Amino acid sequence: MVSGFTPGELMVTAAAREIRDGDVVFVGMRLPLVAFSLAKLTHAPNAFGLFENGLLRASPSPEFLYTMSDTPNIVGASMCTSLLNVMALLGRGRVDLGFIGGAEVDRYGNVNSSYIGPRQRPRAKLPGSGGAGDIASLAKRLLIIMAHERHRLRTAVDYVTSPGFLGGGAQREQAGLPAGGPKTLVTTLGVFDFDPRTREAVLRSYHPGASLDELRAATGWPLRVAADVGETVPPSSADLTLIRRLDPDGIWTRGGAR
Amino acid sequence: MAERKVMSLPEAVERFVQDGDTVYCGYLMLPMALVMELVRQRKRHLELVGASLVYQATMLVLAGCADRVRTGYIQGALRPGSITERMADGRLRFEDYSNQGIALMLMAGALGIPFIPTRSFLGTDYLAPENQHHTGHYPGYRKWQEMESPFDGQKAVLLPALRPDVTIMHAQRADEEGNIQWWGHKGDARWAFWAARRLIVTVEEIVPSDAVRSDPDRTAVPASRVAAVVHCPYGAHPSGVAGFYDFDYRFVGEVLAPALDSDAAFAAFRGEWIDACPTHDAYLERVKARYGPDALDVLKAEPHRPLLPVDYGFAPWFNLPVREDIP
Repeated sequence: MVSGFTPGELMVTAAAREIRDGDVVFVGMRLPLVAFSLAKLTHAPNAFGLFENGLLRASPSPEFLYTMSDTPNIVGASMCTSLLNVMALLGRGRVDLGFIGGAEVDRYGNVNSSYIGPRQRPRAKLPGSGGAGDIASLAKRLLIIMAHERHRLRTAVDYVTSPGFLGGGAQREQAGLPAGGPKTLVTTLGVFDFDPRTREAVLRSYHPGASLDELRAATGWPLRVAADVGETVPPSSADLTLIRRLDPDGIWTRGGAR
Repeated sequence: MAERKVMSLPEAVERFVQDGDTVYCGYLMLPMALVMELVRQRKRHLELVGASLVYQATMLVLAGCADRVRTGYIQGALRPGSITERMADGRLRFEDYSNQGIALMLMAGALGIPFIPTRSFLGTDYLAPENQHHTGHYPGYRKWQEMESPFDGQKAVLLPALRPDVTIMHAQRADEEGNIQWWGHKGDARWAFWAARRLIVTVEEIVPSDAVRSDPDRTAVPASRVAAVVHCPYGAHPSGVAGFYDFDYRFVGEVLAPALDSDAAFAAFRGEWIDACPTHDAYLERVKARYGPDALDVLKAEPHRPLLPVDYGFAPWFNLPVREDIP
């Protein structure tokens, strides 16, 4: 009998639920590796996974993955190719859902993973886009995963690495970006959708144990809350059993030592 | 007489990497033996390029071998005392792109075209006026140019072609002529093979040319583009090679990652694992000395062969029906 769950397990479950059956998913690193496998094994058996190293998978990896480039991720793949082939699917609008993380996000879903402080004299250099900027630009739906802290959910990020809706409204389209953009923001405290008109993040649900006051305090912009806001549906015991099989040492979901 | 391509690690690096070179240094099967040889030979002022650079690049920066980086991602940036400090005091010049950006630039370099358009970067701070130019090391060159397509008016960002002076890579096998064969995930390395002026490849195995020619789909790049081949088993350690060995995460976590935390930590790592090991074999012996005689054996891959062999067969010409109406 499984009882209790970690924030990581809840976020993986929330992220997995955003994957629809049949989706072509740009998987990425860390939590999404587990979320993709969980979705495949539950409600989205026909989801198809893309990894920017050039792997295309119709089945979850046979082994736990630290990174998408672990050699077991090759075994049983549908195709082993190069980064640009995967980007070709993205560029032609063939990717339904992409996952990205980052250091900061604003209310329009613009994500910073480049610099803290000004670019010309940064207080910190962050790892950078990797493929995140490409995914945010070109995927039909974008799911952003973020630790929910006031210094991360900011009114304006220091550097827009991965474009969301830019300044809101129609700005994304006006910049020449394809339609698409952020669909969901999953944080350690809640789940946000984006208003179809203003493009602002709107709280859809708060995680069990989190209160609206706590969310307001941890959000750098005036929090908008959906009229029908509710509690995030927790992972089922079947979900938890699968997550613990997919991530046996809790590396991505229970803060396990690497 | 054909040029001799197979040579030792020191000879390959000595002959084909010069101070100041722009170096593509791998994405997945990391050319770690070559990277450590660059450190041993104290190469200077290298520029590192690649879509996503991990610890191989951070090592070369901390070792003082590289002072410029163009990439979509650099691992270790968040570790104390490395990338940010060096950028702040001017020891490191850093230009950021994205994975797709760098891969497209390498493709343009390989094709010999001057630039290539993308729909990435639109609307981002990459294109902010203050970020339009390189930070000083390519005077006169813009970093990119936003424009509307002359054909349909669609907005696009033009990226300059990227041609590394030298690409260093690790692959599964090569023949003595220098034909390189690989399989598995290929990242941006496919075009880096073709974009480079010079190509140095370490391989797990040297195999007969007949074997290469019996399976030409596996060839990444033909011998004519290859400057040097080095037979170097475990040349990607601690990264993994499909069909040979997996990532050595114990070594990465306990030895390599902590070494990237500070100049002092790196100096200690360098002393023990690079300078005190005159060859890659000596380095591998040190891995075994630390983790036991089976430290490398436990990483070895179990066989996983295709269920059906690939067949390139054809019908002999003299068996084919003849068309009498062709003169």
